[in-house]
Amino acid sequence: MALLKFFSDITQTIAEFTSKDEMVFGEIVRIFQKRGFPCIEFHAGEGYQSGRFLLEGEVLFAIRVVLDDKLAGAGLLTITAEVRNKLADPDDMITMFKTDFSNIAKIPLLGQIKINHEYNTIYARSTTVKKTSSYMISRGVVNSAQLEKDLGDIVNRLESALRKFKKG
Amino acid sequence: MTTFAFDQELEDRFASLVVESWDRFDDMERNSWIDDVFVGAVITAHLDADMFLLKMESDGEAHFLTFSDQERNRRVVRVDHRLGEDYLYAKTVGHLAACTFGVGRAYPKISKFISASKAEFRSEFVAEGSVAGIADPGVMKVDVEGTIAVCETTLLLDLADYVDKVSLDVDTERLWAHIQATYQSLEKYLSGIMA
Repeated sequence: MALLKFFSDITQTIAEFTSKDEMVFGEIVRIFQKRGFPCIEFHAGEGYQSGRFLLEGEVLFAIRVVLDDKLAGAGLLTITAEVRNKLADPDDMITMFKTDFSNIAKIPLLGQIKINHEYNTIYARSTTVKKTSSYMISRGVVNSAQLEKDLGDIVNRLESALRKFKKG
Repeated sequence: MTTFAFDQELEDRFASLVVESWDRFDDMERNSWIDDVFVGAVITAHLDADMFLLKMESDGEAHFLTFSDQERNRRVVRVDHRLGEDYLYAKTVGHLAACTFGVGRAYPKISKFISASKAEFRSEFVAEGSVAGIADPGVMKVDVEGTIAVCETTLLLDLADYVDKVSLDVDTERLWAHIQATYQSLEKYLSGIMA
């Protein structure tokens, strides 16, 4: 019986050790859900979790958060913010073509933020190297306050970079 | 040089066609988000119940989640929304999703492992997939995963009962009450076969 418990405990410990990304990702989903930003797209596999969250704010339409586990517990935290312009007036389309597109060609990188313009949607992407275990307080418990602060800081920077591209 | 007679009325007509198109586009886009919003609410509800996400797999249409608590009990949720992803299907039949819920726990004794294995063997004989590849609803099945026995059942849910199709707001109280009811029955069955 003691042997069975030993194997059971060790199996769970291994599962928890290899699931820190999932724990942090679950907390990210909860943080955004509580702020009224539901997840609208999921993709997940071994060492990779991606969620797109609907903001529909004054500037940002949505953001995508990707946790991509790389090596030795370190991974990439990539956040991509989206501005969506529903242009209907041909004059606005001409203006956008002449100004925004040419600006993009000049400044593909704004600091650590990469801008990508795809006609109606403009993306700003920030990638940082993160050790997801740094957000773990104890077994299965994520430092939600720190995580929320870090996410908020990145999203605010992306929003500032994209503000000038928002029409109407 | 080509010139043309500009007609403001025609341009206004074009602009209104674009606006109407965006409305239809939004409706179709939101249709594809319902299952993801549901899954997000399922994750939030489990985390609020002091569980943590242990495993997640998703191809965007079918989602598989495993949760654990501090006592190492497991909860498994599988949401298969491949039918409901189709716009026409969702508009006519509904946002149907085959949702499998499971409860798992480690065996307290080796004799319970044998009981669980017998139950798993019997589960293999359960008929499933006779309608649209969806498992027969409400049938309890046991799956032995290493040192853990998971008892699971499948329900055919309309996700629109939980997620508002326009605002995407979730009735979390209803959602959690339904999940709790399912878990309770699964716990009862698992306790029964482990007794």
